[in-house]
Amino acid sequence: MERTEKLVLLFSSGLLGVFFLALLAAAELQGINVPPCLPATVYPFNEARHDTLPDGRHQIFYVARMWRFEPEVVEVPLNTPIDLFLSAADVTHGFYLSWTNTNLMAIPGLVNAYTLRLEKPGVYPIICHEYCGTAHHNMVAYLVAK
Amino acid sequence: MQLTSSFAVTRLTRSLMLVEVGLPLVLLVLGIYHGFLQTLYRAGLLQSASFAGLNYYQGLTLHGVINAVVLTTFFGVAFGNAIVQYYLRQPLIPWVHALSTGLMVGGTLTAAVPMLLGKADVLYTFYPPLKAHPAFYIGAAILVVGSWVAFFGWLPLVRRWHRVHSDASLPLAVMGILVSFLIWFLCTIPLAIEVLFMLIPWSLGWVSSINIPLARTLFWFFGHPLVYFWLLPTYVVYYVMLPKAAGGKLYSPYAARLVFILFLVLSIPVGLHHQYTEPGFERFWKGVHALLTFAVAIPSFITAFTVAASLEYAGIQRGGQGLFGWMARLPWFDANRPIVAYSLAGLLIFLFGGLSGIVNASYNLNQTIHNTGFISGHFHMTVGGPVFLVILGMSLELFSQLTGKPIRGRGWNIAVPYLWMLGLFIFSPAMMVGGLLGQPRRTNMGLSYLDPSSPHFRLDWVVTSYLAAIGGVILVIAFLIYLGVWVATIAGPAEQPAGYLAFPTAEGLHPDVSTTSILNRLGPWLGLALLLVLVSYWAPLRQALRTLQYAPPYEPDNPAPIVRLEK
Repeated sequence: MERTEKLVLLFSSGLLGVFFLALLAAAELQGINVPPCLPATVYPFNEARHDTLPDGRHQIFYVARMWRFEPEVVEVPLNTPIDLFLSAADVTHGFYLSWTNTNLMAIPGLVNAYTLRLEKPGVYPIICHEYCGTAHHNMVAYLVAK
Repeated sequence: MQLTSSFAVTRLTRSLMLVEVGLPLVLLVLGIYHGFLQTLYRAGLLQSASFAGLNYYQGLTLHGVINAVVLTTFFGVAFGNAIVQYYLRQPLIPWVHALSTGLMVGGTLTAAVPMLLGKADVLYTFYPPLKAHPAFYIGAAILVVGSWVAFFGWLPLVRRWHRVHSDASLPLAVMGILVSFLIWFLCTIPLAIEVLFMLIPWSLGWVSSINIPLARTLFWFFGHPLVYFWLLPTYVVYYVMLPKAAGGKLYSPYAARLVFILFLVLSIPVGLHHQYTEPGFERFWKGVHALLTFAVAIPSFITAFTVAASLEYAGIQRGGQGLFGWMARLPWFDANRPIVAYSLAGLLIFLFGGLSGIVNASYNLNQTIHNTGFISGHFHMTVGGPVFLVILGMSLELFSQLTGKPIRGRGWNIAVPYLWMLGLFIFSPAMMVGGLLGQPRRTNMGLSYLDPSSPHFRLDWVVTSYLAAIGGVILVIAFLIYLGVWVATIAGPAEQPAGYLAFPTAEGLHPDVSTTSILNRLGPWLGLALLLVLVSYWAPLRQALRTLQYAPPYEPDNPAPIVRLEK
């Protein structure tokens, strides 16, 4: 191989290495991560629920079904940790909380989870972003932060 | 390797290859039509569930299956048939060729019927528990088996070639095609397991429910290597034909062989990067797949350099001076070298396609863009860009060689890739920015988010969806011109004898791999690839297999399952 080619190979691999380290740093130091592993042995729930724990933490159990999310509208306080749990009652659905990194798949047979904290007041649409049948485009819920 | 003479194919091979080139292009009219319509639906310019008898999601299924599976598989086989015959100077085995084409055509038609009847509105990823008519899965399986048969039919030819040329390296183009089909064969095994042992019995009602996480994992085990099966024939054109057609040499045959080997090793153990946002897998294994996905970007970085260096050499040969002067001297608009225009436009698009792919691979960064329009914007600049343009340009070229009819409307022909590029450079950024604003992919937005009378209307998505529709208009104009060139070519008289294959073949500027080098042997690398697959998929598959609750089938238009499970 030519010397220039070796340099390019080295440089591009190094660049990707730096990118990868940056991702790891974001995950480990800043806590920006993919959903945690709830193993497949966690049995899916099929009742929606919204709890406030004694320490003020909110927990919302979302059920995605053709073609709505339950609960449909939830109010949460600002700057409070919110644990989301998500299960699919029928087919595969998506769950994207607009303007945030909360982006989850609802997979039949599994429970998904994510913890977030909203800092700006507003009405955040939750969009189903996985095709789930005829009325997929109408599958929206709202999280209201105030 | 120097080749000057053309290779005459048999009459049977000629007819079969014309079917392989022609059938997917006929279907493509429908695939492109609905691609265009989707941009209108998504912008709210069409506010309905269907148009002219075709439902949005039915059309989306056709768009994905025809453009990304049927077209690419048929082209991979047709181009492989041409490359193997031309560079190995041997005819195909007639019965194998006939069997493979027959299976592929039969499979495609079998799957087309339920899609056209609206009995398979499950998109090209056919995620269960949405269920399609069994004929959809069966047809797809037959299509894949037909492509396997074609591949197996080349192997005796390769062995014979090695016996005669025991001291030579396999021609680079043949090596690229073999690697492409090795990847295809390996990655379609998990697909076959999903389709044969899970989806078909379940869609026929023989079993009441299946393991969804397992089905998804098997699908993406196949679904990402698939993109390298799309890409590698294009790389063969870029490495072997483009440098010669542009008036130069391949900068480094060594690098080209290294690239193909790296793809063989790294293409498959990466599928979990489509499943970052799913539960059930440990983060560690998602991270492993992220790292391996970054690694498989390296051969594309090498390609960017080597192809650019080859083009620089060509430009300098043609009198280009200075750091950038070579670019102006390339035959961008030479109507007699359409493959240059189709390749150069594709390369420019692929710069952005490749880089946006690194964003998608980026583990936690993917949280921002997963399943949004960003993804569609990305892959229209890969499979919808360089891959699609090489398929268009090379299909016309193959037709011309097989029939002896010269391409008519040659000026129009070279306008196609640049117009396509212009359309994509509007469409894809619009989809990507829309994705960053949260627009979902695969969604008939005209019925909700882009309908001002809907409670879900999103004003912040209007501009990008209109821009995507403008891109769609330009793309469809480019395709119509391409169709016009086809019609003119078919209608024109044959001026050369039919059935003679000939491809521009670049010499190396720098030395090739030594013939005894391990880079000239596929076996050891295949072993390494299998080892990596085993290491990277062992744990995720085990984790998916632990699923307790299985899912019954659902029709896409009914929230009640077809089969009620006993509680």
